[in-house]
Amino acid sequence: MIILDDIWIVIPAYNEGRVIADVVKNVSKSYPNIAVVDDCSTDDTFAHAQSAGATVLHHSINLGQGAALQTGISFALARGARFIVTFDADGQHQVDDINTLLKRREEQNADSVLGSRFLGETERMPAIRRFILKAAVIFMRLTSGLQLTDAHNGLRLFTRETAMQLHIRQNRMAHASEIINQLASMKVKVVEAPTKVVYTDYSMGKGQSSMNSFRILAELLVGRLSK
Amino acid sequence: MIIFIIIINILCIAYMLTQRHRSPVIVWIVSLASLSGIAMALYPEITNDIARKLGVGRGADLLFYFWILISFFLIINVQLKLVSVNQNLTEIVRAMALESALDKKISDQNPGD
Repeated sequence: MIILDDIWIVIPAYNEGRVIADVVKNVSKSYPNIAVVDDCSTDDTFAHAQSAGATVLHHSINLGQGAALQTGISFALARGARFIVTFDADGQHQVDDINTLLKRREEQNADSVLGSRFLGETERMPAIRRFILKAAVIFMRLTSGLQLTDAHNGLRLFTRETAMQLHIRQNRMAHASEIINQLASMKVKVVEAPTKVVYTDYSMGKGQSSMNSFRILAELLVGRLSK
Repeated sequence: MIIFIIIINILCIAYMLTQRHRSPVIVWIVSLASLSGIAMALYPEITNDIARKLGVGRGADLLFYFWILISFFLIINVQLKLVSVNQNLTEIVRAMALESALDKKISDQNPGD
């Protein structure tokens, strides 16, 4: 039986001072254990996340989202987490989808559940972004062997055992493909669950632009080459 | 000029010997290159002889190709070292973040300490 204390939500954050308090408060309505990893933000991300009730870890220099995820996962494991869910700090993810992942894990007895916006739904997703992410999916299927529908979704669930085997070394955006490649080589049971991603003016203004989509694709390729 | 080249190369070898504990591979490569430099300064035709044997036009071309190869190796070496340094830096920053957060949790649980 899963108790709430078994679940840790890990939120890597960089300069999300405007929205992090709301994100943490929304998550905390259902899940009390939240670890925000402040990746050396230059705004008030740390203070806002802390005052909203999260446990906040702080990187003294900016390392990247991949590094922040690994720090958060390491912390959650140290706190005895049985299940770790990674969640974006910019408000694109829905708290209800955490429950979707947990339910899918139980139904399938999976070791990891990855959110998929293409099984679920998206709101205001730019067309170029959709194209790039679809291309990334094809690339990911060819390179990892995992038949996923979404290669770059920050909403993921890992069991403790799986999280203990993960070692994210790609500090920046290439961590997404690294996680998938590591899951594939661990030969653990990986399933997907439908999730919703909302593209807000805030998240799109923060650099989730079309150019960033190309960068994601480029860094997936670099991540593969530097493996 | 030849004496100048020989002196510079000898100084280079002497310096490399002082650095042999830091990066033995680099020391070996640079020392061999310096010894080759001395040989070529004393026997300039040697590069043309070697070039002809290898099917390359001129000694100068041969030297150029070797320089490209050595430079490529050095660049790759530096890149790999950078990756390693970056990983070490990441581990340090992460350890600091975790220690601070876990210590805070312990002190929150034991406010009297």
